[in-house]
Amino acid sequence: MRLRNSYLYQLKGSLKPITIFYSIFILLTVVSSISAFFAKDSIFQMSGWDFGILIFMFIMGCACFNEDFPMHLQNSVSRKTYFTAKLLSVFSSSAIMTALYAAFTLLIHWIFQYLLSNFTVFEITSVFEMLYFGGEGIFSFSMYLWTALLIFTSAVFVNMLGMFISGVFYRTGKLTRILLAAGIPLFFIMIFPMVDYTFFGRTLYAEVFKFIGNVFGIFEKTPWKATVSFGVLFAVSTVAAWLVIRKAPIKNK
Amino acid sequence: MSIEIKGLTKQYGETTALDNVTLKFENNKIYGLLGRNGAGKSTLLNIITNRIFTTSGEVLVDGENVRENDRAISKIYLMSEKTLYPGDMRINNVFKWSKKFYPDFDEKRAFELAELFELNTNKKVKQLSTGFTSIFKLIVALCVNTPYIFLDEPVLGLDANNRELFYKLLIEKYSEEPFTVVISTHLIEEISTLIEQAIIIESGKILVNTSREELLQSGYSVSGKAVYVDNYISGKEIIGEDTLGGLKTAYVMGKPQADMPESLEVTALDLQKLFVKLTNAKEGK
Repeated sequence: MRLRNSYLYQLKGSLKPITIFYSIFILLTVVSSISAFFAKDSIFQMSGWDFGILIFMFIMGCACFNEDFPMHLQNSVSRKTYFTAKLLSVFSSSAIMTALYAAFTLLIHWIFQYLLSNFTVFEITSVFEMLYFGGEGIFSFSMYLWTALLIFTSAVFVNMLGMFISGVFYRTGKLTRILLAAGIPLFFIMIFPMVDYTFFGRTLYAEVFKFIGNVFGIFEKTPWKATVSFGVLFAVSTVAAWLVIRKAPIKNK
Repeated sequence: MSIEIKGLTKQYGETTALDNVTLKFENNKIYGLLGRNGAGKSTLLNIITNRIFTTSGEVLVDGENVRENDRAISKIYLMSEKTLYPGDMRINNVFKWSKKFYPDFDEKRAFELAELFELNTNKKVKQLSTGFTSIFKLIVALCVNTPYIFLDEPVLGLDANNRELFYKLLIEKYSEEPFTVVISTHLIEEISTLIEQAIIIESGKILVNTSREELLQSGYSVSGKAVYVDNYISGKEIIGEDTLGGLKTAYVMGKPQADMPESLEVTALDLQKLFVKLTNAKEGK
């Protein structure tokens, strides 16, 4: 009963932001579609919304913890139950985000492929499509399903990553938070390039990108590799988030 | 049916917030949990309700360890000084979700009490004043119907009228269907007639754990000319003295002598005074 109510509470909390996100998506899609319709004999493409979903899910993961956690402790919900419900709600909200994106892209494809094919071309393409299927605008169901799976698995991963980061910031003191918030970007923007340039002759960056490309199957265009990798990252971030949250105390200040 | 606290210790680095505390909150009783600032009251309440963890010791609710145990902690409601509800949540939604998490929560009664206290339930938590923030939390506490209710500074920011109303509602509810309530407050005199058992906590340790009557009868004050008072109190356990010119009042533990000198006046101690003197005496003031 507590698990169910905790799940419903957390899911309900994500429905309003999802509604706002897709309201913007629909508005921009409609405006772009109308522009495409009147442009005639042109090719219109909207892309990157899948990455928009990932950013959105990451921010949701970061933002929810600070309010949800005290609310649950106030209502005598254990951390175990809260976290279990969180996992269930992450799966649900990621599924909702993916399903809506898939439905809209399919609808747009159908409208411009069959109803308005004589007028102009308008496509919503995803970054994943471009990475793994060449982004040539040739529609196939396997491409469509793989894209949906990639969005779903990456969404659950980034949401849990956001929760982990939020948990770390909750548990640590002010100085540690400042060091992390400033130190991590500083490392990647300044220290890492300097070390790479000075000691590795700029080969380190190339090796890192090569490694990421291999792990996510970008060079071989194997989306299943990326799916598995996101799954592993989701598992790691879930364990990390639990380790941070399982003994998180309520803060009185 | 009780809450048992066994050998509870809580340390924050070098600081010992609670030191080997052992207590029992029995069924259907009103407790006063009293202590100075930083004595450990809120720490104790937070550990009982699984909001923070102990360094050692355990808390059992009806025989079950409370740590990460939904069934055990669902029997307790803590109205804490800090507001843990989301700032953007409207009061009517607070009641709605309280009903979901506490199935015995009386939502209808909550709205009735909101009207009584003139609380606008369409307002968001963050829009409420200090007083109304306490009021909505009190309403939840009065309607939640769990066997154990802890109130940490329940009347913070409440005006005298609302404080009186709250105490009246609490007594009415307790009379209709007794439950265990633990009130932690600095307004000792206000609750002195309400409580049955007094627990005084000082520097993380239990100083006193006795019935209110026993506590009040454990001491008395004797006043008069300083020289007569000094003669009387010689050899007795004194917990405090107040001097004004040639007059003196001494606070004495124990029972007054049968043959009290006529030059001295004996009065009973009130709970607040006894608390102040006991805690000052402990600190050697």
